[in-house]
Amino acid sequence: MINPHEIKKDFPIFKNNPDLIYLDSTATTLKPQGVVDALTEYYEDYSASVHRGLYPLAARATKGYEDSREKIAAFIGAASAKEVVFTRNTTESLNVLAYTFESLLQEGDEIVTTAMEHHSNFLPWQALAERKGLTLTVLDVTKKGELKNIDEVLKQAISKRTKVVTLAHVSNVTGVVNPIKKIVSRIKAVNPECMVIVDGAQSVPHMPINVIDLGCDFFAFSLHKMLGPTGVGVLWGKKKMLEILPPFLYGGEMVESVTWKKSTYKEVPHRFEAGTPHIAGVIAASKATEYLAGIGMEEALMHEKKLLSYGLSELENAFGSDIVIIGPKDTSSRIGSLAFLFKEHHPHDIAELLGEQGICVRAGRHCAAPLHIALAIQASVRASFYVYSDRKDIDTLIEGLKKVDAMLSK
Amino acid sequence: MTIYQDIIVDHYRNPRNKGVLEDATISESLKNYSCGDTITVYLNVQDDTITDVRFKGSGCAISQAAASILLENIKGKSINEVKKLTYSDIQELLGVKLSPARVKCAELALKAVQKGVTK
Repeated sequence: MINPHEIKKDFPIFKNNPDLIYLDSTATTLKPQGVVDALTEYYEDYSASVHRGLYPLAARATKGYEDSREKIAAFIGAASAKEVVFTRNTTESLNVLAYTFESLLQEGDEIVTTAMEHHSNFLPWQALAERKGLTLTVLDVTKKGELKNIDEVLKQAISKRTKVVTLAHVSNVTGVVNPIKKIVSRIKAVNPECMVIVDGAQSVPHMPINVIDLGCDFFAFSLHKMLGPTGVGVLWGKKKMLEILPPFLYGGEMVESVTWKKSTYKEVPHRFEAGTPHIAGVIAASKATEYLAGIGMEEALMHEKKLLSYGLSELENAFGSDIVIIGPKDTSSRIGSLAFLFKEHHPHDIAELLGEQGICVRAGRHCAAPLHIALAIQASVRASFYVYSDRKDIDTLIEGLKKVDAMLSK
Repeated sequence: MTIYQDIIVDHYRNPRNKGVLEDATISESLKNYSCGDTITVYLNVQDDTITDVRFKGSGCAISQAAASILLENIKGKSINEVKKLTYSDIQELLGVKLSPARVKCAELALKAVQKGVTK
């Protein structure tokens, strides 16, 4: 079982901010000492470029970078490290797909997404549909924020004209987990050619993931949401799928042969990694996945679910119907991103007043306006948990909310 | 120091000049997309002077309190005086320095007033 008090000791931010109540891990997580050290070590000991240099420091940097690819591939159950493309973040991974798919799609083709997407998996496709004259279908959600009648809706939405279905594994607002494996098999049964893209930004950090088992074609996530540094993301794709995509960025490192007339490009994944990458970040990212693997993702998931249950029941005990939970109260189909409304208090006032007490939560639409529109709410407050979160964090949040209420109640 | 100073909390809880001005000569609505705050200001202008004010709206305490404080302040002022107001005047009225994200909330009413009187 996870002992968050022990885990907290591995995170220097808690030494520097002993009273920190950090409940915004869905936005970005804190970093353990090992990750911070790996960044520093690269810059202090062997900060050379990768893939080119013929001297030992460069070889060490290249080995660190490519070893990290192997480790992260293993962490998500990829068939090979060649299927792991490093990007800046989930947003970039999804944009790479939306831009490279452009040449493969024709006017009249259909794209399907959902109302529970983060903007990073909504706007690139909306813009692509506008540019190319494609039809964008948005699958609706229930009042609890879960996909509506999945089987029936998919039957209606998916046809031979559907070229891309792109959806979140886990909502960054409600924590709702979509049954990806089932959804993929329903889609492929109707149209085996349809590409299925999964935004895994909120799933990989919180549960065991095996991309092969999920059955999707592409899977995107960010390392900074799972203890790693900012500026490192992954685009995983089945090798044969990545191979049909044209390069996205052209330049150094991605090219094989160049002539004045025509050039050829490296094989995947390097074809998609033009320019000097975030070498230190990529190397440190595998320290993050190692740390998580050491805890065990099943354990991490259980810990989070327990905290979520505790949070839901404590909020209800303290405030009854003054708190409205956005999302299902049943924790079996969701994880620990806890969004709520509190009386008539505006979420930004709540977050600011909690912030003044040292409690970090997010307020607003969480880059998920389509969901807020579907649920007819202006904005919400979100408290989210991770491996270092504990009951005291939730208790302090509740005390903080009581103070907010005393301050703002009319 | 909390940004929710007494004056802000007071005006949020008990907004002055809240409502609709039926005989308004100017009305203007603005929305702050980041917070979802909305403000509609109603002004009655006679001989270049603001003789009466009202506002309605919804949103965060900062936006609503700032609207109440601003309108109270501009009643009796000339159009020219109102056009010259800047965010630093709002900051002075509120008595706090806000983070950039909240400045948008605090200046919403001023922007609506200035848009209205410039038309």
